[in-house]
Amino acid sequence: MINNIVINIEGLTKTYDKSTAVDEISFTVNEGEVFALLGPNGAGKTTTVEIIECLKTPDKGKVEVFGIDLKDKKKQNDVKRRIGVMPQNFNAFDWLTVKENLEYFRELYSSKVSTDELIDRVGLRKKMNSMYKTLSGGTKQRVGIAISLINEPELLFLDEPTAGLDPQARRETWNLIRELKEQGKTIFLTTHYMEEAQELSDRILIIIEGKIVAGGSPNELIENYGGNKSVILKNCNKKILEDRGIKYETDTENQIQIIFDNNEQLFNILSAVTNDPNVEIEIKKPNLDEVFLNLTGRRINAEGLAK
Amino acid sequence: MRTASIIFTVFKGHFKAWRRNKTTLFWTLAFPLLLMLLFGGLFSLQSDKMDLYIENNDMNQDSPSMASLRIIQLINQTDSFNIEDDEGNLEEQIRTIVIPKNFESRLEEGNSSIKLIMDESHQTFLRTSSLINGVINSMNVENQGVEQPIVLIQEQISSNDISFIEYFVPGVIGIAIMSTGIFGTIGTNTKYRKNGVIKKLATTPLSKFEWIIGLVLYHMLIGIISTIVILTVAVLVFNINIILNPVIIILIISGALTFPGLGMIISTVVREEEEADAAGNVVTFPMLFLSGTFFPLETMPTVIQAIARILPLTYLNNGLREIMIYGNYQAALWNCSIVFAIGIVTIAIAMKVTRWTDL
Ligand SMILES: Nc1ncnc2c1ncn2[C@@H]1O[C@H](COP(=O)(O)OP(=O)(O)OP(=O)(O)O)[C@@H](O)[C@H]1O
Ligand SMILES: [Mg+2]
Repeated sequence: MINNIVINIEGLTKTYDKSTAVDEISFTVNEGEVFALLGPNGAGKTTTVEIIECLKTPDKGKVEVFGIDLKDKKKQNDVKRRIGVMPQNFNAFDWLTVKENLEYFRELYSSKVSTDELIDRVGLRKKMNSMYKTLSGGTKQRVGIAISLINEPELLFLDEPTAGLDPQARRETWNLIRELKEQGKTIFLTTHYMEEAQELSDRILIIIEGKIVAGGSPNELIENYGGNKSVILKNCNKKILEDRGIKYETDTENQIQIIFDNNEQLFNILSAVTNDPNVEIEIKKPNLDEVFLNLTGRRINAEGLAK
Repeated sequence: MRTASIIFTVFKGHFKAWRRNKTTLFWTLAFPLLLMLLFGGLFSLQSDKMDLYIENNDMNQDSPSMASLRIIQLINQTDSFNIEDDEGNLEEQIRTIVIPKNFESRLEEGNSSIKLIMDESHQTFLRTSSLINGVINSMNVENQGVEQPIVLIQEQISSNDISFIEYFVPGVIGIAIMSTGIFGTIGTNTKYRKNGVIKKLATTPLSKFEWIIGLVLYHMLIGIISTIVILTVAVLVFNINIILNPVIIILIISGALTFPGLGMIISTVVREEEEADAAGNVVTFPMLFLSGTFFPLETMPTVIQAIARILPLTYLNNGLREIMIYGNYQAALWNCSIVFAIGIVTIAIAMKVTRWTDL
């Protein structure tokens, strides 16, 4: 299958005053995929998406959206009509209701989309007549997604769509994003939540200090950078392992960790302990946290800070 | 066509928000009304006594005659006049009493008179003439026995004198247009830039020109609404005469270009919401006091007059006053064209300096 390239970035650089926020990055986004830019605070995610959204002017590099070069300012309006954007820390008009906000933006696009249908689609029926300023954070984000769909965009940008939401609201937003993907929209996501990137994306680009450090599908990233899989055994007699020549590390007094590469090795380990009912077995697969840790020597906490 | 409907959307959005927000309603409607009622009330209490110039021509070797002194005394006893010495410039004196030569001797002959020089159309004319007539009646009673009593002769002059409230009402409208324009745009622009609404708008086909024009149209409408409300209350409470003329609308439109334009220019400098009010005050405060809102500029030091000449509110106030109170069409148009020119320049600068992207 030949992928249609929706976004093509080459050598993109953006400098504020003295600090370089985005440093010579290149990547492409394909039609129909959920693409995630993953990185800690200040990595340059927002700067990158806002350049693609025609909100910022790059210092250097080529940016093409739908094959249109954004250097041509006159053509930017053609791009704007075909994209939907939910900026980071999105806000709409405080003194308009949810429905009025949607109608406002619909008129800006002269769009024919039915606001009522959209309201149902994102689950805002109960809140549609509430003033935007009275909504909870989660509902506001939801309104943001609804507004970004008002012009039936082919390409949707969501900059940290679940930042600050509780787990329940986050799951709901994730489901909504999955539905949008099923409808064939290309989704460009930025996030500092490992889990979010892993759950939703087809392809992830890890960006740190304005540079891309790794990229690929979640599985490829884990495969390439996640490190080894391991079996953790509790209450295990070390002698059984030594008899079979299995190398192990003692994690804590009562806990043993054995690194393995393939299923054959795993089977060997498991058969060694299979007759001892006291042994507790846990198989550990690395996730994006490990990928990030291995790439940077740091972890990202819930606030998006790399430590 | 598409542009027009986008501009209308922006305009409608601002107007709805204005109607729903008690704070903006207060500043655009209640505040100017309170200002007008407060100052109008204070000054109408104070101006109970009217200035009266007396020219006494009935002299007996350098000292005034007994009869003329008596009539001045009676006028004084009405407790309604501040009696001033005649300064000889009739045009600047709202009301002048002339006691003729031979007043006393004519009184004995029974055909004496005194003269009131005043504009018949002045709002205090009836009160003045009835008070003076009262004085003449008491004098006539005292002089029973003479065949013909004193009569009051009225001589017409046209005077430009207006009461404080008549002077002040156009200024209140000027203040309302200025403060809503400046504070309103600084407030919305900094708020919407901070909370990301501008960023979201910039991702849509809406251009900054359409946004700014929508904002200006909205200010025109609330300028007209404030004016109607202020004038209605002024007429009902203070019973003043207002001359309505289309030039008023053009003045409001010009104000709605100038002050929101200034607000937009200022908000490119103000980064934080908290600084917005302070910045607005820095600009509005001097204009409030130096643009002849409360007192005529001619009574102020020349330095202040020079400053006033570069402030747009001066011309808006003058224009509104000329047309609404004096009915001076030409002077109003002249001031109007100055405000309009300033407005066009300000809004052009505002469009240039307002940033829509690369925030
Ligand atoms: N308008 C600006 N002026 C100056 N510096 C900026 C501006 N916007 C961003 N920066 C800086 O550029 C760098 C990248 O910021 P950016 O917002 O792109 O990061 P991010 O990955 O989106 O971070 P976050 O997770 O916090 O949203 C940061 O160091 C930031 O301080
Ligand atoms: Mg960001």
